Amino acid sequence: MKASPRRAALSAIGVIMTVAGCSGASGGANAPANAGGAGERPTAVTVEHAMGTTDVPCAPERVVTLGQGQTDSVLALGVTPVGAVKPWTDDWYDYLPDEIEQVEIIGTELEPDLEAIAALQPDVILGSKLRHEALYPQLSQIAPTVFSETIGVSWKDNVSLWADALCRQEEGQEALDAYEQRADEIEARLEEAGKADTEVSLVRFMPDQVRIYLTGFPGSVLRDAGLNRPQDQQVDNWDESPQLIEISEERIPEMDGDVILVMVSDKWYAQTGGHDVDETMERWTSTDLWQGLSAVQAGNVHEINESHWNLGGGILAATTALDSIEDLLLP
Amino acid sequence: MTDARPAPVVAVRPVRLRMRRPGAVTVLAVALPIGIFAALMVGSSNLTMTDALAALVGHADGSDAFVVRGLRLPRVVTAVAVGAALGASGVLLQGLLRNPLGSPDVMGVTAGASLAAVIAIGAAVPPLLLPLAAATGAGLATALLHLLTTRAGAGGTRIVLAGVGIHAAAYAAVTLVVARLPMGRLGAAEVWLAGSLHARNWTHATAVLVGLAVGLPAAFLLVRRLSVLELGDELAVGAGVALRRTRIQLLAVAAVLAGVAVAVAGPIGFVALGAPHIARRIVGPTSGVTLAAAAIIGALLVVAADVIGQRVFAPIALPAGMVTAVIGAPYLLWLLHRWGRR
Amino acid sequence: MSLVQRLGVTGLAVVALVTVVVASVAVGSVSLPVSEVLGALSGTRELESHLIVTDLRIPRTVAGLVAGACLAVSGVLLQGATRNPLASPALLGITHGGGFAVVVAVALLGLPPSVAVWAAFLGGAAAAGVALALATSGRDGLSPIRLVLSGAIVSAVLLAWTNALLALNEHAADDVRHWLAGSLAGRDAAAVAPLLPLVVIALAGSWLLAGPLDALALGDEQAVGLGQHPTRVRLLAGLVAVLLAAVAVALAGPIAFVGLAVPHVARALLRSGRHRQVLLLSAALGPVLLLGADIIGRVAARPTEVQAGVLTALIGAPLLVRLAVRHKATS
Repeated sequence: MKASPRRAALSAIGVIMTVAGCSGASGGANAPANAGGAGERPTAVTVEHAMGTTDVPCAPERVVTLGQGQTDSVLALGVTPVGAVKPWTDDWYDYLPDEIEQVEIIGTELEPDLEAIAALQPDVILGSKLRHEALYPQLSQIAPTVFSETIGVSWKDNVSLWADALCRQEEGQEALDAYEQRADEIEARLEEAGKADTEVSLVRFMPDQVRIYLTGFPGSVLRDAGLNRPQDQQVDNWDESPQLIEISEERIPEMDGDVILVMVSDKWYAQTGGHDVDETMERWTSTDLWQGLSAVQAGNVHEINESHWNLGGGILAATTALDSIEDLLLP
Repeated sequence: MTDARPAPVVAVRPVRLRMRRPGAVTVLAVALPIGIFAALMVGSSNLTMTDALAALVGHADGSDAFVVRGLRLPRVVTAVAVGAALGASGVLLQGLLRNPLGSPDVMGVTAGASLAAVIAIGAAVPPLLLPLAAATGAGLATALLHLLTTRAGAGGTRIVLAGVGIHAAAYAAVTLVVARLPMGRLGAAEVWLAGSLHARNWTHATAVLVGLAVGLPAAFLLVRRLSVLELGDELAVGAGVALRRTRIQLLAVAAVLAGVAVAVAGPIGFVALGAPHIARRIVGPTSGVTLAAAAIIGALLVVAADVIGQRVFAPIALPAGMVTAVIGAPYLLWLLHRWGRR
Repeated sequence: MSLVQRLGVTGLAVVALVTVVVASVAVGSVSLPVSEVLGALSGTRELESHLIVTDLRIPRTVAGLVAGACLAVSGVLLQGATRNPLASPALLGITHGGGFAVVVAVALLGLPPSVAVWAAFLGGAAAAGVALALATSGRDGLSPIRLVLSGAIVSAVLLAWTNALLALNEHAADDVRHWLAGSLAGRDAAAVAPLLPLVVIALAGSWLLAGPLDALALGDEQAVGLGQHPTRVRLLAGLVAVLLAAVAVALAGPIAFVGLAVPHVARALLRSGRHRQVLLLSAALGPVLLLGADIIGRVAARPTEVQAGVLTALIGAPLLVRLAVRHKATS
């Protein structure tokens, strides 16, 4: 269950660096003239991504991010975006660095405000084919635009992609190495503590539905830490399997494990849909089915922060999630 | 209720071009360009009239020119065409059904388009093909409506009932499909179902303009027979109108118009219902002039709804479909009620 | 229809009712063998199967019984009072009016869920009032078609408002979708008990109104001749119908077409429109349809569930079309 073969795959999302030399062949009219400062850096790179290949000025200064994961990972690479889409919650996620407060909000992840983006005169725009495919032509007219195929589950590949687009491959590799190292360290400590075989169940309570996460972003963090999953939550094919299943109360027994990690949707979710997440949780957890789960009986149910485990979706979030594994399982 | 009952609100008056307010159409014709231009000025950054004009004709710096010509103009053109198509479609359907409450929103046409669209979103078709899927859905729903009621007369009750039934079934199926969508596709489905003009480009504008170019002239050709039809089947037959053929033609043209509109903008509700009423109020019973007026009013309504949605709750942008539903619908209900009383 | 035939029909309805009740206890998103279900009914509380059956399936079966009967009887009353075969809680806007009011009251104003039924009552009555006003505003007065269209438009408006409320309250698409259709999932047996007196009073009222409605069916003049006050009867029947629909909305959310379809089926089976018989049979067949839809929904998309409201619409809407096409409609 270890990620080493995947790390090899990271570089498979190819980046062809073409030194565009001194010619201003790239579309970025406002390309920063920092080639002299950065020494050996080329003035433009060609990035291969979900929508084709795009020339991006090296290194772009004014970056616009169209997704939670992009914002997170760009910050991790040491760049503060000039514009980013609204977080899913009312405020920025608590784990993000303070620089996030300087970022201008440019609409939502589902409907970014093209005019506001244009007004920022970005050097590069980072989005995803999943969310923004239809907007690609217009975004490309504003600035060179780089899309990942999807979001969430592919977050590590995406970190490399953003690193390429920002001309910061080294920083990208360092960030990923640091994450893997942290994951390996936690795995080793779990082994020491005799908890390597702990089966961790991952569930999320929302106002009107309850989910078990199998893979996806949160599942990948558990996997990297070397943790096992209960029988009902294991998948044969990581890439093909559905990321989550939505369950009804009758299937509460499938939520069992040695430890149950519970994501509770933030308060704002509680305002939607005539249901209240507290109400939902109260209803589910007061059943004798829930009370009978072995993790519940053993007192091994922990609430985890869903902005770390699910909403953030970038490498900073993943690292924060690793920290919480340490806090919860390695006291 | 029998099919021979005369239409409640529309017609009954002599069918000839009779304008209650002669200047009304002129006013409308002037209002539309003004509305379009206003929409070009307003956005997340507002432009002065001169700046907007300069950007429009190409004498402006890069950023303004791009915002006006690259972003706002295709969006406004799409809005105008969508509104015009919906307004015209409403006139045809209300005339055909001889009922002032008929519209593609409640007759299953829009719901059919929505169903096809969410299925297409679930199958991850490229966004450019989404309008095609939606238009197909609208066409299929209308064809079903026709087949189910083909033995009925040209107008009337059966079509309405069958339409409401198709709407309900299609809408239930939409819910079912949405509930089964993979997580990543949900956002796209919800955005589409809200009825929005967000980031519409020239491809969308062209698609709906082509539909309009086909549908609107056909609507004008049919509108004369429509005004005869509104007198009742017997009188219409007496006047030499072939009921069955006219019905098929009316349904088809109404479906094309509503179909392209829904296809590019999603289900923007209540425009097809409301625009014909306002038009009749201004220029009198169904005629070519009413049709033109309804198209212009529909265009104005959608453009206004889009601007209001973008600005009123900024930075949260509301889709135009939500604005027409939240603000337009209650007003419309009130109007329908009041006018009916007279 | 002879007494024997009538008894036969009643017997069949009772058998059908018993069958769905048994199926509703035996079938769910978790498959339990029949022996285990039987054992669960008498068994100890430790068993998972026992908890699933007693804590989850029995409450939702009870909720389905009550909601189904209420909707069906409400449909009979409305069809009788308006002398309109298409009148029903959903087509008059009552269901969506009630649903909208519940969202406003419980989710927005934060009122306790116990007021849901009264909110639904007020919302339903208001929506029906608007639909009726709209339908009677034409020159030709109230016609069945105008009523249906008015109700459809009012429902569309309310649905749009409900969606708008949810959108303005921010977010994530995937949380609101379940509220678009009614469901029996997660019903609490405790929620049914406080409503029971209301249900009993309303059902008794319906029984008393059956005679006057029969008189009304002969035409207003005949009814006056028989000593009835048509307006008063209509008003009372309308109020009782809205109350019953409100109970159903409070229990199960907006569920369409049960109120429309069941009275028609009952009349067709009885080959009679006598309200007392139709009421009785409808009260039995309503739960058959609703619970039947609920059971299909539980198994159609395992491990998750499809809401009963979606399936009643899928079953009921074609019936509306059939009514429209078959009957020399509605005069």
